Amino acid sequence: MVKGLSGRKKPAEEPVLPKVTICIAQDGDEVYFRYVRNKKIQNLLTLYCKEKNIDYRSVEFLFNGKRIATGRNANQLGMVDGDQIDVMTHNIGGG
Amino acid sequence: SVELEFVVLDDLHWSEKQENIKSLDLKYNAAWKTIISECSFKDSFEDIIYPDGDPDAVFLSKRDIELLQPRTFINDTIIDFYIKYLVTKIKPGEQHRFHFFNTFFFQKLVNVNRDLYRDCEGRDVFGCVRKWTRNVNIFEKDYIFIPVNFSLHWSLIVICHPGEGPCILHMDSIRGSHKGFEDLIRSYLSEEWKERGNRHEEDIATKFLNLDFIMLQVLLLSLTPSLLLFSR
Repeated sequence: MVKGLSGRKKPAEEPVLPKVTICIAQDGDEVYFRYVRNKKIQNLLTLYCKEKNIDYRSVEFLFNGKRIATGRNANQLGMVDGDQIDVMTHNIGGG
Repeated sequence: SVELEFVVLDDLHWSEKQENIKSLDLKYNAAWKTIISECSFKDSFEDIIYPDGDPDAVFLSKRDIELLQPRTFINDTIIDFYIKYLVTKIKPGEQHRFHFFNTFFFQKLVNVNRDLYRDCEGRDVFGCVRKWTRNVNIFEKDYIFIPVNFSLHWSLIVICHPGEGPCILHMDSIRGSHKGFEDLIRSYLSEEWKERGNRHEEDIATKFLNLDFIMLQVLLLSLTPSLLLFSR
């Protein structure tokens, strides 16, 4: 699934926002998004959860093994086309 | 000794819970201290980002804090928070000696290993965590810590002196409950070694595949709990 190329072309005077292709991967299932580089990744992740019907708080999103801090965008994270975000489920256990 | 502080807010059953904790070890009873503080605490726990500004900061919500109740399983957020807290206790000049993986590292290794079970090549499993260490050379560290979660139980793998003569410790309070992960860790180390441009030293890489695992049964940590009781 490719997002972001929705429908009609915008009027020419509007600036074209640079985008990046991000892969969101969960348990072997991969979904690709074209997403604006300087928009909060969090918004994309919320959308992903909505589409997948999962509770945003029940999972953790990792980029290169690190949690994605609130408010960060693709530029700040140094993302390039094809970069992957891992969706991890929370684990519980006794000691 | 370690000092442990509990903050208790309006818990009707606290005295019973307190006795339960104390009954775990005689030393607890002796070291127990109750501090009643006038310090006011907000009714609701506000979400915390810890440590603020850390690229891998942990986000703690009220839901996580509730897992600190007795007889409740704790989650990865609590474990990772505590690891990050412990790191702040290491002298700044010493911090470079250690590397702490977060709880998801092992989860990722195990998940991918399971998915690729039929075609279980070390390199495939390694591929999923290859970028996790791109800013750190684990072979320059003295100790590497890998929190392990499997079948509702936590344990800890410590790789000692990975760049020299490594030895792997597996600390587990239930002996033998986390068996069968030796090869996963061995092949991870071997692949990571090759990844670091050490291809000409394949013989060393194979050494990693034969590393000994030392199982340590860690029962109870020596704790000196003190109780911080906030009343309003």
